[in-house]
Amino acid sequence: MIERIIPLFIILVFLLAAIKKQKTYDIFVGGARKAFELVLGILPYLVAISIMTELFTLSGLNNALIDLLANFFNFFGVDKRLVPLILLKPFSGSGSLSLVTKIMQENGVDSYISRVAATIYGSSETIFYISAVYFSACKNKPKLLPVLIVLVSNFISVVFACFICHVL
Amino acid sequence: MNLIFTFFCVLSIGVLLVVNPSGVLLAINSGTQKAVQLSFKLMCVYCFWLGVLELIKSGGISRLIAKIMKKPISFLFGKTSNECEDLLSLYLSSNFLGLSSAATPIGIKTQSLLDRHGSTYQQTMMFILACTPIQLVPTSIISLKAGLGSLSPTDVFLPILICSIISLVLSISLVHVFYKR
Repeated sequence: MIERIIPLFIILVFLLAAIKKQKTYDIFVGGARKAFELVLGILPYLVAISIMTELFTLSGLNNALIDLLANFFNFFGVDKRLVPLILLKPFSGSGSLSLVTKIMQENGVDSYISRVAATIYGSSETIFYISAVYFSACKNKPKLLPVLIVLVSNFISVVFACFICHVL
Repeated sequence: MNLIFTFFCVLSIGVLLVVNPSGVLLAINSGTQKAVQLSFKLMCVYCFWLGVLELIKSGGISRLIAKIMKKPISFLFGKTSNECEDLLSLYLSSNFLGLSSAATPIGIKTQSLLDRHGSTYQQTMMFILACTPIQLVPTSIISLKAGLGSLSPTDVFLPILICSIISLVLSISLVHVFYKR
């Protein structure tokens, strides 16, 4: 069902524009042209975030932070095996998906820990990537506070995820 | 962001200087490469969806969706212009359907529009909605579970929905605490 919604929607978009006697081809090309500009605007921010992530991972600080935070997270009932995922998710979508895959392969796909991992992956976003990309065209750059707000609420929802996967 | 960037980079390069000095340039190189590759991948998707976005606007669908979503948007954002409302409702509905590749270019446009005509409160709200999207069907995780041979690939649907809602409600209330409308 869900895979039919998008093609149907695209057909609807074309038909409605055509009914209104719009020049669909010209309009489409005009919109597509803007993609180049948009991506050029995003590129430097992506480079900065990506370099930061690479450096942080290679320096081993990533693992040090995981060990350091493991106890803190444990206090809230968060399993140690989930800590790398929780830390990586704000930075990299593809990286955290491969971590989820690893957790599922090592612990069994239907185990408690895998379900929590899936929940964490599905209910949070790559915050640093979003703050870089969404504000790329803005003069008013993001401050620390909004990022902190999202990080805190994501953490609370992680704690809740550990609990809810026990119940459901 | 400046603070975070400086902190992480200086600290990481400092540690690498001691542990693995030749790795610094390698990491910088691979980071840049990944970013450039990603941008070109994104451009392929954006070309199509930005084209469709213009068609959506010209066909009047965006007005229709905006009318349906008028209540929640004015509840979250207060007063916005018509154009903002259209883009916001398109953004939220494409995110809801799990079309993140279509949602991102729309989100960037909305954010820059709010930057020019909106308030800091509205920009922050937009950022928070982007960071905690609620998806109708979490397709990537369900297909991953199914691919690994799960007996019930969809059993995470409810936990994901509940946790997204918790984190969304929390962030929205925190924004209300820290920012003035």
